[in-house]
Order: sequence, then structure tokens, then C-alpha cells
Amino acid sequence: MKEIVCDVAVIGGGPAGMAAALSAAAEGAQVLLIERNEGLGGILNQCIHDGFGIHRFGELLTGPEYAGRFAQQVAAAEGIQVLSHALVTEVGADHTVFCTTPKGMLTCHAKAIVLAVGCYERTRGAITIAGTRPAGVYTAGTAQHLINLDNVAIGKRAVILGSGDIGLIMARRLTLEGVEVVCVLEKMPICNGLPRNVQQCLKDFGIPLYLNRTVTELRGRNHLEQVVVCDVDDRGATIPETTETIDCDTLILSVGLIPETELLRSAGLPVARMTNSTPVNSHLETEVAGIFACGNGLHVNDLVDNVSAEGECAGKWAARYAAGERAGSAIPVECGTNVRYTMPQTLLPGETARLSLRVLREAREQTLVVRGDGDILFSRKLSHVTPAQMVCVELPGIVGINSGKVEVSVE
Amino acid sequence: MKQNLVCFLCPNSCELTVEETESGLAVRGNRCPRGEAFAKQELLDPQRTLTSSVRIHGAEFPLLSVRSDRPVKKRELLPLMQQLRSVECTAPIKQGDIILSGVGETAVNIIATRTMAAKVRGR
Amino acid sequence: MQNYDVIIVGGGAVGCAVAYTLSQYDLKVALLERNGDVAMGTSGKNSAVVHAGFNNRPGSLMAHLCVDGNQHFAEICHRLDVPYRACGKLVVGFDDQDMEILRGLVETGRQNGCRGLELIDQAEMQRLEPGMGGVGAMFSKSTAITNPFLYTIHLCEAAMLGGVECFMNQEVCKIEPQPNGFAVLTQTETYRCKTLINAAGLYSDKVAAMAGDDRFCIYPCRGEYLILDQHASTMISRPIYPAPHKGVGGLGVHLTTTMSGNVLIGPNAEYIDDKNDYATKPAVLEQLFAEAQQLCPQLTRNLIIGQYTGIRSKLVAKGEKNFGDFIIEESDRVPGLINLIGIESPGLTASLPIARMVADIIGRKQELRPNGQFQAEYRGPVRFREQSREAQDALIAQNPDYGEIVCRCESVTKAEIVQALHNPLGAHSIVSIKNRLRATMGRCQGGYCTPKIVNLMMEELGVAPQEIDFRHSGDMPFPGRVK
Repeated sequence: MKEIVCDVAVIGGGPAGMAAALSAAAEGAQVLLIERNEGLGGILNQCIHDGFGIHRFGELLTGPEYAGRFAQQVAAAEGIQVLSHALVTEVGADHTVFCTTPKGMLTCHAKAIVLAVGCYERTRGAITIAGTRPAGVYTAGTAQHLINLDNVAIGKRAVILGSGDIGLIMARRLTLEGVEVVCVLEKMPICNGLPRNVQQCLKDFGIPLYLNRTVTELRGRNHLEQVVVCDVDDRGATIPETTETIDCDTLILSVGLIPETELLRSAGLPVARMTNSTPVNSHLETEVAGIFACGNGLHVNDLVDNVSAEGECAGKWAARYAAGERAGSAIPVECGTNVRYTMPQTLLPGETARLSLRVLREAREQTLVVRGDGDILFSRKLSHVTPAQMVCVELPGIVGINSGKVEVSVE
Repeated sequence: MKQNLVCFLCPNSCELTVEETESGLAVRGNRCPRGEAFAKQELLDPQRTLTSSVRIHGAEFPLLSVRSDRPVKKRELLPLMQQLRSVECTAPIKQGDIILSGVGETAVNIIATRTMAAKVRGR
Repeated sequence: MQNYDVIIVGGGAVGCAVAYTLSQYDLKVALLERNGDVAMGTSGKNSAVVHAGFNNRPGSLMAHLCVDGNQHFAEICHRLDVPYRACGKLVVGFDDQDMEILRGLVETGRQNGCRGLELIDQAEMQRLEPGMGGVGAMFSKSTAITNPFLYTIHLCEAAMLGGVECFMNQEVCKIEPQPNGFAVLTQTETYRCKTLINAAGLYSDKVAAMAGDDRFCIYPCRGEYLILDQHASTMISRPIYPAPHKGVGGLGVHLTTTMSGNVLIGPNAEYIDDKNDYATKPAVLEQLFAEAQQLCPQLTRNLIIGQYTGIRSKLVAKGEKNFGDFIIEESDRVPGLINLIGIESPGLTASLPIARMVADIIGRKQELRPNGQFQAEYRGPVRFREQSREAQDALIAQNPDYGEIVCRCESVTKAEIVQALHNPLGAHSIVSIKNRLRATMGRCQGGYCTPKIVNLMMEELGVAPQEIDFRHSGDMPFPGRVK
């Protein structure tokens, strides 16, 4: 079995991992970038629509173009070795990385590790839609892979459940590729996707969006023939008298993303309920020193630009960790009014930090407030917040908190 | 006539109101000047970038992702999609390569959005 | 026209066990299965538990064959490369009345010849399964778990290598009496045999009637299950059942660990009319979860990854109080027809003893000479994830396809998928790949690997998307190419 050593092992060659590898290499680290597929880019390669990179590059790129820009930099960078076709099956708390590759099993001993492993999609089983188990039921990403990369058609008449951006984008993709999209259903009272996607993906093609409505049952013995749909009330309970059936051969599910946590767990890291992933400090370092995490494997992001920014942060600090720099103890961030979670979950004193958060409820004309010992340490006006849109702010360094914690509220 | 729009030039998604006044279209709600231009364009002549794929031979995947190099008229989207169905190309292809040139009313180019190497035999 | 000594109708655990058992003898045997693969019915849709035999009426065939099957199950799994774990089982009581029922179970078990049953107190129960509800339990040491798909598939494939001919996609539609035997007609073929073995499970009443014995009626009784993420295996380490209450129609909703580390919740019991009604119902799934939480209060909903339904083939109708034992006998109306009817739980555990009885019935009528081709031992494709790192490295050195993990949740490699696609039975649907390898059964439910498997199927089988089967031959999950 082969063994190798490196300063920083980056696991995952998607947007987070590529950015992490680049920033670690820029700090002078010898980086091993481990990717399970043939090429870099991860999920971006199947996101052939445009809308990526406006913050970073000031133009609207497609997924493959956004990935391509980073992949070119990786290819040109000094100090990055790309290991493709390699699947990491285990990460040890001692910074050992176990990979399976077509050239054999490989063990990498790294001084620091960046986990940039991405997420997977919530399934029909996870949201327990009852009924038969027919062909024709796909998560949006799986359908996207089949249609955009594999040239495999999945059906002729589709219903989409879930109004997140992926669901909306699939509505347009299916329509463009010749599939009739009957409607998009959303169980929540508000649309989870960006307004621009509602316009470009649904309104442009006259596809109806029904809020407070969901799929309760699948019918069809071998292939999907019908979905049973029904309104839900404010508490999420179904309203039986609104039940109707829709004939369709395809159901696309866009009902949420869940960070991959197998490698975090293998390193002995805890998985918190709110982010479905592990807590980190403002260097994106986990509770195991020298193991960093970023991107959708850390918490699910809306925009790839933020994923890249997290990758850069994790890569930089992983390189510095590998060079011997250690972070001190951090100040816990508590969630106050209308804050579902923050990431990072702890702040390193005196250092600026990118704080991401999601709210619990939609609200307008709000202020994000960070308090310590009852004092306002930072505030920022927010014109409109929704649970579907992540809030991201740059926090100045915080010092001298007697209570040893800060609280973040949106009020 | 008053119309509500959402600007989709960036994720800020400004909620715009466009009103027809004696001095032309008046746009409100935009946080940057591009929003005003967007609103007028959207009302007078809505345009979209077309993204799709074409068949490719000898690459890792059987499809190559492509887009129009400029926005096309909204009503051109479906006819152009039809045109792309019969297009084929062969690896290697570089991102930015022109796959079809001067198509549609706006004479846009269809360009590759991904570099695809020729597949090594046996891989 | 193809002539056989014996035709087995049905490729479930029982039919395949009969095929394997008869392959020991110099007989020309065929197995007919209506689906594209074996283990597609009740055999693949149950709790996957190797029962000890304390739930069955003393003196019954069920009791006797279950205890017999349990005692030899580990050995057959070893011989046929089938996963098996002797983890034991807890039957939990919540009050004095339950504890009385558990004492009754120990007594029934003793009469049936079960080994390793003991009553344990709450402290001991908590030691075995921390966090479990209940005041005490019966611990059954000899209860085990297995993989019922691989059990059935490996029995069948071993039988094939021993000379049994297996025909998939052959639904029997007519049986004609012939001098000294039967002509068995399917949609496309006619097969002749001297002895006909009816192992048709839910449809065993229909097959018996086709052959001229119309005394039987199978009452289908559904049971729904929820499947939990492998993370739930940190909460329980063996099957946990509630004390059985009379009139439930099953063993009660229980939690079962599986070989893969997933946990199953279920099944309920509901009599239905349609033997093909595998749809789950929202209210039942809710109820299952609520009952499971009573047994294991720490269960959370985000552990749920899937659901399925199995259908019991019961001989006793809804509301009837009488006991329906297995029917394993040569029909006295139709000589040469051996009926295996009403084989519900513990049919998986009892399948080889049932097959032994079938061989004995045939042996009473004709001399059974050994078959030199018999394959007592069988090995399926190597399961990569179960190997040590050193062994994995050696496998990759032989075949680099072992180094390419296709199903990430279950660590299934390209090499395994290629081998499964070329299985001896010629089964090549997406579901048969799933049943053989567990690919797509993990927490992402095929989200990641489905496209990869579809591409491998097209490549290996040389087919277009529209020629791929999902579950049955020609069911066309994909209409074709996008462009």
C-alpha cells in the first residue's frame, strides 16, 4: 500500500476544495488535492446554467466556466498535486487520510486537512412520501446529471417538488430539453429560490408555482403514473379536502441538501443539528486541531462565491497550521432573536471573521446585531431576510468579552 | 401602466417598479444603475442567455455544455434549442470554442463552456 | 418442449432452497420465476431475521422447521458466502402483563427446542441495549440476522452451477396434466415435468389451482417498514421486539438491525385484496415511527432514509382465530404436485428444512442418486467493503475496477457492479444490481450512483437508455436519449 506525506490534504475538488488548495499553496504549503472524479469542478460541471460568479468575477458564468477558471489556476499553481479518481473513505484524528484509487489503496499523512466534501440531496425516503416505489422519481441533482452529462432522458411529463433554486433551474432545464413541466410545488408558504430564478425559470415558460402544497403519495407499479398532491396548513399538516392527483411520469425532488459528514464522523467530530455538520472557529478549524472544513460539507450555501471564499479561508489557515501556527481559544457565538444558526460557531478574539447566518423567519428592515457583555459590538442593516437566503457579513475583531460569549440577533 | 419586476443581474434581486411616464419609462427600487437598464430592456425586449448541451464524441461524457456568447431574444430560446439537437462535435474541445456561429435573429455564437479532453482508450 | 424431472415454480427463498437441495441429486430440475430475478417478492421484503422459534405453536411444522433452520443457518451462510450475524434479539416488556407473556414465550421456546432463551431485568437489558424503553425483556441468544437477498440469490446461483436450469421472466399461466406428470405453460414456453413443486408464495393458491388442486386460499397481509440511516446502528445493536400481543397478525412493530447497519422499523399487519399492493400509506408510516419511539425513545425522524412493504402469504383470513401452519405436502388430489403453501414468517429461517422435506417426499417415490456436479459451496463476487485494507489493495492490483467506488454510501466498486451485471441468472435490472450489492440502498438512495450505474449498464450490456430495465423486463425507466 502506498503512503505519501504532504503539508495540506484537501479532500474534494469542487469549488470549495479548489479554492482551499489554491490559498494553501499561496501560503507556501505542499498540497494534495484529492478528487473522486476524473476532472475537478464537482457538482458545478452539471450546473450548465448561468448565474455563477457575479460577486467574484463580476460576470455571469455557467457552472463549468466557474469551475474551469479555478481548475486552470490549480493546474498552473506551484505546489498542488491533484489526485483524481480517488475516494477518501476515512480520515483519522491524527491527520491520516485513507483513499481508494484504481492504482491501489493510498494513505496520506498530512500536517493539516481541509474537508471540502460537499453535500447530498434529501430524498423521497427522508421526507417519507408514501406510495409505491416506481421508477421516475429523482432528486434534482441526479436528474441534472442524467440530462446534462449522461444524455439520458428521464421522462416526458414532470412535477417538481420544492422551490429551491435547484428545483426552479430544473424546471427550466426540463422545459428547454422538451419535457412538459406541470408545476412546481412548495410545502412552505414562501418560495425558497431566488426571485430571479422564479422569473427566468418559471414565469418565462408559464410554469405555475403552488405554495403551501406538497406531494403526499406516489402511484404507479413500475413507473410513476401519478402523484397525489394536497395543500398544507401553516403547521405543515395536510388538508385532505384539497387533495388532487396529477398524471406524470417524473417527480423531481428539490427538498434540501445535507452536508456529507462521514469523514467528519470518522475523525471523531460531532455533528450539530442546525447545520447538519460540525462546528468550527473563524479559521474554519474544527474541534480536532488541524482539521478544517468548508463549503457545503460545513453548511449548505446558496452561492458558490461564498463557497469559494470559505475554501480560501480554510486553505489559508490549514497551511499556516501546517507551518506551526496554532489558534488560541475562541469565543462561542450564541444564536439570539431570529437566528437559526451561525457559522462559524466560535470567534477567535481580535481577528476579523466572515460570519454567515440563516434566519428563522422572513422579515423586512432588520438589523443584525452582535452583542457582548450587553454592549453592541457590531450592527448592520438588512433590508430583507428570508430563511432561504444566507446572510454574510465581515465582523471586525472582538476582544475583551468578560462573559466569554457573544450573541447574534436579527431584530 | 405600472409593472413589478425582479432584477436578476445579481443575487441582490432588487424589486423594481417600472412606470410609463410622459418622459419615458421610470424605474424605481434599483440599487445600482444596471437595474434601470435591465428594467427597460426587460420590458421592451427581454433577453436571456441560452445554456444547453450538444452531443460530443470521444469525451468523458456524451454531452458538452454550451451557451450563447450573448443574450438572445427570449422568444428565440426554444427555436435555438431545436437547432442544437442536431449538432454534434468531437473531443478535444476547449472552453470558449465556437460550436455554432451566427445563429438566430441576433446572430449569436454558441460556445463550449467546458474543456473536454479526448478520452484515452480503456479509461 | 423441455423435459424435466422436477419443476419448481417460484424463485423466493423457499423455491431457491428447494433448487439448491435438489441439486445434490441426479435429477433434471428447472426453476421458473415470473420476475426478472429471484428474491423479488416476500423473500426480499421482510425483517431479515433468522428466528429462534419461540413464537410458534409447539408441535407445528413452523416451530419444528424454524428451530431446525435456525440451528443450521450459520453453517449454510458460511458455505454460500451469505452475510450472517449471531447478534441475538430482545423481546421487551412494558408491564407485568407483558412479562407474563415473555415467560410464556420462554416456555413455548423450551417446548420447541430453542436454545439460549432467558428473561433479563431492566438493568441487564439496559446493559445490552442502552436507552431502550421497557421494564424487562427476554433475550434470545440464537436469533440472528442475515441478508435475505444474497441468501436467496446464492442458493439459486449455487443450484445453477450444480445443474439446475433457472428461467427468469417466466410467469406460469397454465398447467396441463400429462400422463405421468405436467406440462407447465408460460407466456412464451412450455416445460414438462414429472414432479411439480409449488413454491409460488403469495400465488401458491393460484398455482395449486392451475394444477388441479383448488382447496387453498392465500390471504395477503401487508407489512410496511421504514428504513433508518446506518447512523442509527449506534443506538441499537440487535433486533428489538415488543412482547407479542394476540390478534396483531404479526410479531408487532419492531426495530431490527440489518447486516449493513441500517435499522428497520416495522412491520404493521394489514389484510389487503391486491397481492401486488406494495404502496406505503402516510398514516401507517407515522404510526410505525411512533411505536418505534416507544421502544427506543432516542430515535429521531432525520434518521429515516426509505420505506418498503412486504406481503405475508397467510392461510388464515382476517379475524379468523385458527392457526395456519405451513403446508408442505404432496397433494392428495393431484399426485406429483408438491405444495408449499402458507410459507410466511419464519419461512426464511425454515427454507432449507422445508426443502429437505421436499427432497424426502421425492425420495419416497424414486431413488435419489448423488449429483457429481453439486456445488455445496458457493462464493459470490467479493464484497470490497468487507475486506481489510491489505486485501482491498490486493484486489485493486488484480483489477483496477475495485479501486473505483461507484456507490459511495455502501462502498460498492465498479468491479462488483460489472460482475453483478454478468450474474449467472442473467438478471440485469437496476433493482437486481441493488439487491445483489446494496448499491443505491444507502442514505443518498442512489442520488450519487444511479447515473454511474446507468452508464455502466449501457457500457457493459451494450444497450441504449430505453433498453435498461428498472425492476422488470421491458419496464423502461428511461425513454431514451435527451438528444
